[in-house]
Amino acid sequence: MTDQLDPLAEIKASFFIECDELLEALQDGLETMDSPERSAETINVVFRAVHSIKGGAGAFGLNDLVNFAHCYESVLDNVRSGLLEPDTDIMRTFFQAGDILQDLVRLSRDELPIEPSLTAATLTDLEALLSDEVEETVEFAPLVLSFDLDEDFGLDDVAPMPAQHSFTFQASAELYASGNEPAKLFRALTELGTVTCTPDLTKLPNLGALANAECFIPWHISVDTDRTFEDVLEVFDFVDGLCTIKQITPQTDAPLPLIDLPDVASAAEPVDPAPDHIEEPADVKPAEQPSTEPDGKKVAAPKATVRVDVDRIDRLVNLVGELVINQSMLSQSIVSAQASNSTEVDAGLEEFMRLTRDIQDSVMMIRA
Amino acid sequence: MSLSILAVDDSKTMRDMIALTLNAAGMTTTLAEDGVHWVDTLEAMDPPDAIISDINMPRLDGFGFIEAVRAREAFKGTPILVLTTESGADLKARARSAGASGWIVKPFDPEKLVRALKMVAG
Repeated sequence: MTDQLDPLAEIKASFFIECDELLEALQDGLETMDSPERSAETINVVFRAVHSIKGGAGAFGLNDLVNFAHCYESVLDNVRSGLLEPDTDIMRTFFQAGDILQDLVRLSRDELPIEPSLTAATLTDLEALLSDEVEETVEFAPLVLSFDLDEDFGLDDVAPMPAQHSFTFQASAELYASGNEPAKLFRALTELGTVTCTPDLTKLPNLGALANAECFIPWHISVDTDRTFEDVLEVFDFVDGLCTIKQITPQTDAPLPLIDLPDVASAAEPVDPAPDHIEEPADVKPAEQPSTEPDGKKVAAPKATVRVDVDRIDRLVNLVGELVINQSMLSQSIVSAQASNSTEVDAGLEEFMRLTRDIQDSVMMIRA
Repeated sequence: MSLSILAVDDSKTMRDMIALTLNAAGMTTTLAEDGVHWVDTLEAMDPPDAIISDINMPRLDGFGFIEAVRAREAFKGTPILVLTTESGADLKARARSAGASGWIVKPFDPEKLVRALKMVAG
């Protein structure tokens, strides 16, 4: 196949033609910037010219061009935002940068080597013009709070095994307001493996506290897949900042005996709640490594646990969910009927709500 | 059914890349080099299944375009993906505030863009 029939090659050729137009606009814009006719729009035109060259170059992997344009664009952005006032020396640097950008475009188009010496001096000048402010880290990413996955399974010579990635997903009101729908995100997860989504109804507030635009119910999601957790997170990449994701740390890697859980109705013995392994929201940070022994082996903290049929847990959670809803309705009915003038009713209702919350918390700790 | 996508970007190269990617995925693509014309004609058109918008554009930038789209009742539920080389948190916050549904950084991964569009509009 010749280049003429390759759509990507055609677009690349078109990109270089567009570059010529952008370089011309850049040159005209710089001359205007250096004259009394300079305006905010002039700076915008200059910025966009460099920005567009960078964007197109990135699509074709022209890294020298991208890196130089990025630095040039950053300085122009400071001018645009009023952080930098271009004087004669700065304008001279801008014109030099424009000339080098032209050279880089030509060399890239002709597929000729680009010597670092071509850009080094001007890059140094441009970098010196950048303000001292530290570039912000991307905090629009989903809040991934724990990567405490134990990867040391002694299976180095074995093919990757399917893993279960569990996490909670909490949508913000903005996620819905911006035209997104969690169900579509969940559906996309099914391309990676088997997905289980369970709403956490314990977070449902009393009816009186419900607000139409707010999202109260987080989801517990498990994905059985041979892909990494990072692959799972990638599904949520483009809605980062509109939702919060908290990974649920695996509690044990050893198979435990399955024991029967007494029927909910007859369960009278108090049960110590399992520790909640969902980390509290915090700054985005890299994975926290498990503690290690001096010889480098990872140490798993021993933990007394039992395995319970998931259906039984689900049933318990559903029953508690119904209990919470009924408690909310009852509270609302009492308020509506103005029956809460009695101190005894108030005290009883308050105690009922407290017990319901305690049951919610305890049951959800079992799931976590 | 083929998804209809409106893509607004002042760079011809990017418009061509987007069209190449989306058409190959069986989507119907409408291209525009800035948002001004589309803001004027939004009232008369059926909302596309999704909109892709650049940020740095002449006459009307991406923030203004997204706000104008969201101001139309018929477009309140239309997913809008920002496609830009920018990745600053402040710009993302502005886009989110304007009504953007998501943010994808250029140069884009074609597979990722298609998957995102199918996810929000499919």
